Amino acid sequence: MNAAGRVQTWIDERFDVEEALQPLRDKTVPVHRHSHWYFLGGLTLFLFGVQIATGLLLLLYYRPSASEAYESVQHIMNRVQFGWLVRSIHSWSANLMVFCAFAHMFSVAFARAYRKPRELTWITGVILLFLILGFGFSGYLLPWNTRAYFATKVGTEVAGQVPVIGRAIMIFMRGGEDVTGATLTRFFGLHVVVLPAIAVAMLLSHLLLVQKFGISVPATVENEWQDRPDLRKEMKFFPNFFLRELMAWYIALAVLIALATFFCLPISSHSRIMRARC
Amino acid sequence: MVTRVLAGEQSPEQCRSSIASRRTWFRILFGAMGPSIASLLYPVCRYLVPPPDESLNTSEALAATTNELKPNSGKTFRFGNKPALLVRLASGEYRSMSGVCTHLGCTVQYRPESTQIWCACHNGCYDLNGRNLSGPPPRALDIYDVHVRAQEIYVSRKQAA
Repeated sequence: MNAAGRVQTWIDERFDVEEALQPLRDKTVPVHRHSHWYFLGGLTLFLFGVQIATGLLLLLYYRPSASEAYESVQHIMNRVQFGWLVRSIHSWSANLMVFCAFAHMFSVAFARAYRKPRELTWITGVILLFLILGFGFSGYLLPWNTRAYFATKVGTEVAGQVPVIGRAIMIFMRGGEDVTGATLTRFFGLHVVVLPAIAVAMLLSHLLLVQKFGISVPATVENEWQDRPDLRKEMKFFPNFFLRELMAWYIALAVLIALATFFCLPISSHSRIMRARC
Repeated sequence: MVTRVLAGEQSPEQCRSSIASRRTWFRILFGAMGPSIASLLYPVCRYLVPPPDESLNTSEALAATTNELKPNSGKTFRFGNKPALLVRLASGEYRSMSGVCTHLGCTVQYRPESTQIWCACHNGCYDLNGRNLSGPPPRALDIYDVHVRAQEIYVSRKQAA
């Protein structure tokens, strides 16, 4: 027996991989005129993966301090090989991820896929949507340029308008009275540790729930199928739907790289106001 | 519940030939994915390699001002991205050398008691010309040129003679 075969047997004797994969093999995806909306959740998942990969790469050179953050982003843009591409992909993928997450949410809302028993899937999804927005808000400050500074100043000021507890929230978010280096380190920790940890936990629950309840069929299609059972169609998740989803990811990747290459965002300036804050 | 399989509408022959042509397509598509994935990994690998450090080529640095050091004392300063040592001898003369121990790269310091340069990590000693005297250091410290301009002391790499 070859080495790979021996490893396979060794694992099989201890853990039944087939049994663990069985639910995925049995999983089916309904086929009807609205089926293409099923791709959006997977696309959001793909973009989340892109964010993790490019985020890890950016972490190699980014420095989260008031005196070094802007310079380290400039270093990534100007000195690191393909640094501009990695940062541009991270930024474009963030925007597309917000778009896909909202499109996914609306498709679920309009198809009323949240109806019983899938309320928990909907709730974890809404939490994920807010986490994605949290990623966007905290990540926007990290380049530490003028635009980032004022966006965060305005954003935290808005939180400060909440009655009674607003001011306390604002001071907690800013790590003090004003947006300073303390805000930057807070947002950095939130962006790279706290939010990813919660998001991964939520994402796993979301996927487990989707797996448990199966994929919802829109109410109108469900009614038609009830009247005409012969119209009911579905395809296997693996490999049929999986390969289609893979194609969608591949196209998304091409679009993402084209956008990142041809519309590469420059890092805007770091004015005197910012230097005074450092 | 009646579940209709999509491919089930074809005759067995149709099905077999369609599977064959689908397999060819599948191979072409996956074959084409190889190079495109490689073209994706290439920038990532290049990104992982740190860019050359510009400060490595620094040829001159401001070490101190003339009123900063008393005779028989030393100071560590930044030369490019590495520490360097400026020593003022008892005679008032300035000497400068690399601050990086030749043993395992700790930062050396001037010891006024013994008028030697000493590395705290493994007790290595150098004389004021940078020569290794005792302890583990395998070779001498690089010596730098010292220039006093107005009130400022500049240090530069030795010009190859």
